[in-house]
Amino acid sequence: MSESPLQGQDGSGAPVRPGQLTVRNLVKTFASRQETVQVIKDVSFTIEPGQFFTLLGPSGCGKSTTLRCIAGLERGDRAHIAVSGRVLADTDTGAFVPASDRDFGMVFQSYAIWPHMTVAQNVAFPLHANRRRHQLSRKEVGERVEEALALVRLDQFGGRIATKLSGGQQQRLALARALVTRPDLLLLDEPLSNLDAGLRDHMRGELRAMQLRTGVTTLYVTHDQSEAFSMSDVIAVMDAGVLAQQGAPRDIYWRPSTAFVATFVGQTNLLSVVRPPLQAGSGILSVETTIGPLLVNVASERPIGPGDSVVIRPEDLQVTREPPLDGRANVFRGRVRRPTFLGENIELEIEIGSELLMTRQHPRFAFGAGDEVYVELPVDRCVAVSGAAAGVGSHIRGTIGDPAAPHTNAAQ
Amino acid sequence: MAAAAVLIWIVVIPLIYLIVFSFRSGTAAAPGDWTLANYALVYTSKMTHAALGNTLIYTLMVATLSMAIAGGLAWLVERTDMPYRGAAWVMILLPIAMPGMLSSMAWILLLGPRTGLINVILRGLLAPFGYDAPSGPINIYSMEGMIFVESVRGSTTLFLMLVAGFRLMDPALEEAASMSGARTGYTLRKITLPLMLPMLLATWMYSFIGTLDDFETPLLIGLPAQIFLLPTVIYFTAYLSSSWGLAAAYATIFLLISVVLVFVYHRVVLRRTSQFATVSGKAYRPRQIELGRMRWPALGLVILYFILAVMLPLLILVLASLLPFYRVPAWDMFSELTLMNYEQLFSNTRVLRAAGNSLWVSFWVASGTMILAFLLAWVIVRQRVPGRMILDSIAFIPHAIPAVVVAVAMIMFYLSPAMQWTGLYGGLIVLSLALVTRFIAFASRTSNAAMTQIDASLEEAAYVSGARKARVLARILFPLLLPTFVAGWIFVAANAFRNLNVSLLLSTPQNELISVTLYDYWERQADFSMASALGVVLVVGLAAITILARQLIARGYSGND
Repeated sequence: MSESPLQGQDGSGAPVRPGQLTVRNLVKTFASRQETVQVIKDVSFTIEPGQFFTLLGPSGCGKSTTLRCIAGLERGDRAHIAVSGRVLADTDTGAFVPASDRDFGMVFQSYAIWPHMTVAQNVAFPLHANRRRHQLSRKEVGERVEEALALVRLDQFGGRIATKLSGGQQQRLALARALVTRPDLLLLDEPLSNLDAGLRDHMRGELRAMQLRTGVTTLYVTHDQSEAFSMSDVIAVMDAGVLAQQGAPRDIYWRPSTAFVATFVGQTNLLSVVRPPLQAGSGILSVETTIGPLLVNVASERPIGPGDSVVIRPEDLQVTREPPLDGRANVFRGRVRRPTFLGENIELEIEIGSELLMTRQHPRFAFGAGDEVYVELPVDRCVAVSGAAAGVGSHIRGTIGDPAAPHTNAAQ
Repeated sequence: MAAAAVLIWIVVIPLIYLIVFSFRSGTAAAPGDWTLANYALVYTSKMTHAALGNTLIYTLMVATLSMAIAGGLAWLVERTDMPYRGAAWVMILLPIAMPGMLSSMAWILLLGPRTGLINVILRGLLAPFGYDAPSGPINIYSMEGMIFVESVRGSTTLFLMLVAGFRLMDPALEEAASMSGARTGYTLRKITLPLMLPMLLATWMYSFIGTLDDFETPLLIGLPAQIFLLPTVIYFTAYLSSSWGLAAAYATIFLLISVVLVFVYHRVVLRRTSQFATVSGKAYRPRQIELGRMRWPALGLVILYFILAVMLPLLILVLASLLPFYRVPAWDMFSELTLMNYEQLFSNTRVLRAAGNSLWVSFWVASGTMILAFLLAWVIVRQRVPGRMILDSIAFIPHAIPAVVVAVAMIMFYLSPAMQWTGLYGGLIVLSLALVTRFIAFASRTSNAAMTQIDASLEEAAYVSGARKARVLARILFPLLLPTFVAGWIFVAANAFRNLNVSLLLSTPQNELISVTLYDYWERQADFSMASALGVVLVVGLAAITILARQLIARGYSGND
């Protein structure tokens, strides 16, 4: 490959701007004595300059390994990784730039604050280690350290021994150290997971504000959906080594593409598809489900059939005592099984045929167990997804009479 | 409370007798007037200055050298891509089965100035170049010889400590340096080494204190070479010249030095180290440094270590044990090889009696030490008894008492007019008590740690269920702690079995242990072949027991799950 550095590395010829990250065909296998595990199975994505891009997935899905391959801390078995048009790893040509020469900022889950240095020394380290690339005088180094510390509001703490800082301060220190060289790319590996809940919510806002201020392209890895939703421009959901779906937070939530994505982010109802739709194609189609025919949104790239599911979020169900006006689609009669008053809302399980659907309604609706109700599943909120629910992170209600159907199997 | 009484009986009272006696004239059995003469003699004796100087050089050099060896090996095994790292582990850990007495003996056979095998070979090789001295070129009976033998032997424990230290370090600390643009060498200099420094210092000091207590190399190599160290001075004055008051004074001084060092180690060095603790939850192994062309030479170093620490010593011992009389090995001796020594060994009543004694002592010492340690741990960790921290400190004192001092203190106590009538001195019981004192610090630390791991609510649940204390102890705590108990038991039993430093000073014809018999064959009867045969049996036996025990423990663990 001998393209000019300003040409796209994917052969499309599209111009590459500084801060753009391209990952193509990333594969990574870990071999131990007992077994070989392919933790990343062919992952490709592009992060546009200035984007806050989040890899979201359960533990063991390969998200951290993906980040470490981009950082250069792991070598992919197969990979093409380029940032700002500069090829960092390409298994076809054998090119591999070591982590120390990639010029990225990174915040580790454990922060990796060096305990034998002061706060200022921690921040200054990348400038010293990089002296060849950042030709700075002693004075300039001091200024850059001040600037980075001020950015995270630690400018009063420069002389402190780093381990004397609180958890939140250490986290900000790690961020200052990652940003002090003004890198093209910032890598964040579950940076908030070691903070307590209150601080985590606060740091979420800080982190995003910082990213917007500096405009640095950011790759964020987390298993926490609220972190992902609140900060990201783009979320990529990872599952078992593959990218299940990539999109804006709202798309991920309202238009999931697989049952896994639907159940991993937020609570959801999943209804199994019984027969393929009568008409082929996409758009709003009538699909036979376990509670009867439903009008649902079918995406053009995913024809559905038995084994697939229909998703509707609990807060989208319309529950009324009186029948809705004629002409409404997707209306079913049901019976309230278990109303749970939660203060800000009321959670209901509604029995429709042999299925249980979960919903949240305004608490002023005083539903009681056994009440007969009408349930509308608004057409634009019913989405066909591929696959059925299974495994960790599912929030699906079981069918009636299934004692194993857990009421509280919500992971997190 | 009985446990506390036992502890005071075996630790505090003998030490008081030792210190008191160092200020009196006469013999332990019939103490004379109060006097400072013992200390005056110590102060003016040339031997004292020489011994202090020798001890300092010896401990400094051994600690530094074994640290360097262990550090290099640990780094190769943990942090590089050296080939056959699994096999390297085994090669580095095997020397644990080799008692210090045997390595010294083996190295004397290899490097003795006149008859040492290596010297004989070297003389042959050097003859064409005009070397015709009847001895040399290497003399094991020297300070260098002692330092060499003990540094090679002492590296194994340090290796384990350093590997643990390497593993405690969060790999992200080094990765963060890589991400900051630092190359391997820069990271090593600026991040890895400074982070490891407190741990390295602590390990070095641990080695220093352990070497200070070392008795076997100074005894076997130093004594014939007239190189006295503090432990051998005490042995010499007490046992060979019967100046007990003087020995007590030496022992008291030795005790003081050791206590100060151990105090500094625990209160200053270890605390510093824990401040730097950088434990993380992430399971990523640190990146291995690629050695490139140096991969195979690196493995060569490990093999060289293995040859020096285990293979050569063991081979020469086996060879010596197969010769009817020990003589300089030569090619014609293969026709003489015989199992005669082994036959004699197994039919010799003295050897069999000593072996019986050793088994008896190991069993009771291990059982007694571990039970005492567990009762103490229970009191110290769980019970809210006033004064339990004092107990903890008392249990810890033996850690700072050199073995030779334990032995001298026991002699002072049981020969004193107050205890003489018991007739216990010279028997197996006093010997066993001395060994319990020797090992209680180790056992107590292990048990405390294990007890701390067990959540108090497990016991509380038993109390709430209506169980009394004794039942809780027997039915809840003991089964939970059994694996630790068994592991500690085996450690103590194996070490009691091979112990020489306490048992030699306390030995009489009635309570001779197998290690003392071995030393006697070697030193007094100069029967190198019989000593080697006994040594080989000892190593094989200890290795077999250790392996068997490990499997038992492993099975016990899975059974408990």
